[in-house]
Amino acid sequence: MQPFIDQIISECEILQGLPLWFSYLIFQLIFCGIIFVFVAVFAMLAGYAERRVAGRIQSRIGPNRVGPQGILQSLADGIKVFLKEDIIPTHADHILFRLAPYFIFIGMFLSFVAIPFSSQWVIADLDIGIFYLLAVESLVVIGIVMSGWASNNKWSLLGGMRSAAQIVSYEVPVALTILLVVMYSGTMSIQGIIMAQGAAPWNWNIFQTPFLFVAFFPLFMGSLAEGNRMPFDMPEAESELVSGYNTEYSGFRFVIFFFAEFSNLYLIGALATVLFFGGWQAGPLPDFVNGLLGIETPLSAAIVKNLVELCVFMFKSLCLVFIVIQLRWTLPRVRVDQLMNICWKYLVPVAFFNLVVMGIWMVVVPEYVTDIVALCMTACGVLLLGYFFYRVAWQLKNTKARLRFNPLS
Amino acid sequence: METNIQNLLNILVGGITIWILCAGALLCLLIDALWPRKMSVPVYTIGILTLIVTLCSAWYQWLQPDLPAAQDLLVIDLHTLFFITLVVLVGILTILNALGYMQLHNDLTAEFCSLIIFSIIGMVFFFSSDHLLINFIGLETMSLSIYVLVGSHKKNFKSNEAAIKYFIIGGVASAIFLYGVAMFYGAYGTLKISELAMALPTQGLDYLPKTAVAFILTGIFFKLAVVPFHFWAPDVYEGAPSPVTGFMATGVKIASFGFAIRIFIGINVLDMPQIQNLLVVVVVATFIVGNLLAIVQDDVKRMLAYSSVSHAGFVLFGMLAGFREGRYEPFSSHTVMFYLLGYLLMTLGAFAILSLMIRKRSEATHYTDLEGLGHSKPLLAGLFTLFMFSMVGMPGTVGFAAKYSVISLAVQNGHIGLAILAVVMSIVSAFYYLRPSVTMFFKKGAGGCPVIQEIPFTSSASITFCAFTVIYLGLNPDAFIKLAKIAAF
Amino acid sequence: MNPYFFYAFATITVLMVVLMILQKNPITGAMCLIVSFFSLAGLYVLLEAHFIAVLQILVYAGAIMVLFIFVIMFLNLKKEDLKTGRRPFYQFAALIASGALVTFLVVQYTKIPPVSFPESVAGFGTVEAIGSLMFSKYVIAFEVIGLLLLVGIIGAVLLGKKENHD
Repeated sequence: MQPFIDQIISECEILQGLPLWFSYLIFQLIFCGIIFVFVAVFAMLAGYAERRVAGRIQSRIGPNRVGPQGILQSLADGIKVFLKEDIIPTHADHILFRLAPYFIFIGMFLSFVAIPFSSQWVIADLDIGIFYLLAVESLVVIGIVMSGWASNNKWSLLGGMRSAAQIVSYEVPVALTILLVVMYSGTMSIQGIIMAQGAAPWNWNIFQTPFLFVAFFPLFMGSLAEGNRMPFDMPEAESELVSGYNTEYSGFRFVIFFFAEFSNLYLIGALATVLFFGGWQAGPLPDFVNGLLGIETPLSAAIVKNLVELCVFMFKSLCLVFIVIQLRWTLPRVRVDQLMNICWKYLVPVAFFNLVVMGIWMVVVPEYVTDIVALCMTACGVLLLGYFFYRVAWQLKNTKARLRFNPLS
Repeated sequence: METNIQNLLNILVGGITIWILCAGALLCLLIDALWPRKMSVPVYTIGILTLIVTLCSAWYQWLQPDLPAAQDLLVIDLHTLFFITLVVLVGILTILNALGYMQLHNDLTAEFCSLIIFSIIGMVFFFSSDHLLINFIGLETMSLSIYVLVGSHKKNFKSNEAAIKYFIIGGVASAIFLYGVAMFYGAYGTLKISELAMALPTQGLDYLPKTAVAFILTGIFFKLAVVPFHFWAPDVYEGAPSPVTGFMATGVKIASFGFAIRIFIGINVLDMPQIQNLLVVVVVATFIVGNLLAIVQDDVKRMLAYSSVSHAGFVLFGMLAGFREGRYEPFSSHTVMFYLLGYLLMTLGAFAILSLMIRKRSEATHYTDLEGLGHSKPLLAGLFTLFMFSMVGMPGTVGFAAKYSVISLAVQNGHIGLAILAVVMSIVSAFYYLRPSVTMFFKKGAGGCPVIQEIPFTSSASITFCAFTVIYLGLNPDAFIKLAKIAAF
Repeated sequence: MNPYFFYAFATITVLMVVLMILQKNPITGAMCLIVSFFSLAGLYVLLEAHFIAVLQILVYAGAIMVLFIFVIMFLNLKKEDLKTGRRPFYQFAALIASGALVTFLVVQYTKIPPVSFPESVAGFGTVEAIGSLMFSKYVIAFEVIGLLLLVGIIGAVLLGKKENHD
């Protein structure tokens, strides 16, 4: 962040008159505001998208009344929720009941501090960024558990307890996998991890070694579980627990839970992008765009560069988000004991095995072999993707369905 | 890089005894996990073999003319090797006892063996390091293993209670210990005992190190169960399975004294008059409370718990006896070491016999359970009496030699009052130590089956070994006192 | 290190711990403990030990406290369960003892001459610095802590697993 602000200050004469710390503060606040707005808009759009995707998958229409194609549905829902009465159950623990949403809200936004949207647009590039992400995630857990307990409702309590057990368990494979990536990149800074990768797919971490490829799955499943997403959404399983830990919440407090859920959704995508898919790395694309637009001044060039990188990052992470949304409507929910089995009997051993073998690989295998392996794995990945599209086409042909590219139709 | 590898090699070669222990413990775990059928015998065999190999390597290192240069974190000197020998001996005897005990209780778990060895590893780090951080980690490893061992009788309510009690009190003790360590760091910016020794002024210590010493002492006193930190001892000793009780009563105390000697004599802290006064108070209180409360117990294990309290007082007295006019006489910790050896043998011998007492599938160590044992198992009852005699300090047993060496040192250095108290309390102790023997031989059982029915081979091996050494060392203590003198600080 | 920040964090830490002890309700007590852990992490940050600060939050506030709360919720204590028999003698004795200890420590601490510690060198508290120390100078400590954790796991398994013969 700092180099970018410095650049702006050096270009802008009004700012040079102000004390340095003041302009830093102003710009940081502006960026925080932008992220706040981004999260709000993302939550709205993702909520809408989720319902539309669900509709598509379940062969129905989904919301299409409010605004063109129902795009303002979330806004309408938001207004409705704001107008609801804020109810606190009589026998709830009042202090904790009020405190819980704050914990969740703070934990959620603290995570965004370390997410790098482009090479310069990150609020704080911490030396231990990835570790920090894991740490602040825990605040959300505490908030969830707190809300579950304070509601004095058995559904909430069960939801909170399931959530605690689930998140603490799945933190193990997630942390081990992150450790693997940290080991491979040699840094814990998120920008450092991205920097160690490249723009081309064969430079992404996921295709570097077979172990990193395998490691992606514990991470992805683990973060699904930590974000209480399907197929691991035991804490708010609506068929069993009404709505889990947030059953008793209404009005604005409920909105915070809603926000947290969707920002978590985005974090799942962003984390996987950062760790495995090269983050914002755009290669020669920014220079190309700059050349295309004929931009000369360094500040504009930097802004365009960051914008292009932001687009790349957003594209990658939103693709993952889309996959997560699709997963929700395709997979059945697992049982509690299955949940624990998956974690402790499969993911954790796999993650440990990966860690050990990867360490040996890094010491033993020379660099050029790694390069060849990366190329081969990328080729395999492309083939796999090709096969996927082939299957889709085959299905379409067999069912004589029509492929509709317009998502809103 | 070169120096790093050299450093690692030094550590590997120098600490070979410890690494053998670690490898053995891990091997036990692996064998238990990978062995096709649930058989604990190979695990225990490996465990005992590990300990024997460790003992051999410790002796080998002892005989080396030049020990490897002292590492920062791991000091392999004669003091360390002597104490390694002691705790490994404790380990071997405990595993033998445990094998017998578990055979009788039909409750053979293989983890027991590796936990014992892990605990011994913790003890070794506790007393062999020059760095208070490692000492603390060793203390925790030792304690954590023992918490689990105490609670390993899961269906026994008393065992559960004992484990929880010991866990909470042990945790508090560790915290206090750590607080003292932190104060040392705050005062001098180092945790190395050798550097602390340089940094501490010889006269008129600062306030912070004094407080630090008091806190560290408190932590150790908890582990030693000396008065007034003894409240947990009887309950925990009673609740724990008998072999574990024996292990706690000997191993933990030996390790704690090993550490106490290293730190307090190493950095001359004991020369402070306040600390000496504190020790005097603790020793007197321990003598009186430990011995008097032992009289009123109705259970042999509880009685032995109080007896171990008073023995800890005796060892502490041994440390105190090394002072002549407020200065510690160098190389006088050999009495403590010899006392610990003797205490180890007689206590583990007694617990080996206690481990065999079983009635209705649970431990039976009440005095009434002992009735008539002298008639059904006269040899065993006789050996138990031998160990009790040794604890009293009968001439001809190792107990006498140990107590004699402590008291004579005290008299030499002018602690006449304490010496008299020690003698008086030894006489008082005869009262409760001989009560089980009297019960065994002179009270007729109320019918029912005798409390000891079968004697597994391993138990008889450990009982024989203890009985033999108790008598042998009682008759020729000089050889071992000489060894201890070489290793003494 | 800014003394004002230090005093702020230190006060919060101590206050929250005291509150935790005084709370009747175990969940509220646990929450107080969490807050005190966070302000402890703040103290670590002031000491430029960022890594330790994050570890503090990750391990204590994140994992351990969640387990604490989990267990408390499992027990689901009622108000009646929380009522313990008042034992004024013990309360009085505890008050006297802790008061004496606090007074003693305060008096001791005021008598300490100021200790000057060297300024932290560049790279202090970073992951690299900690890692290289951990694998060279303190490699034994690192390994022994590994053993300690292993003992913890074995113990948990041993005490937690079901009996085979019942």
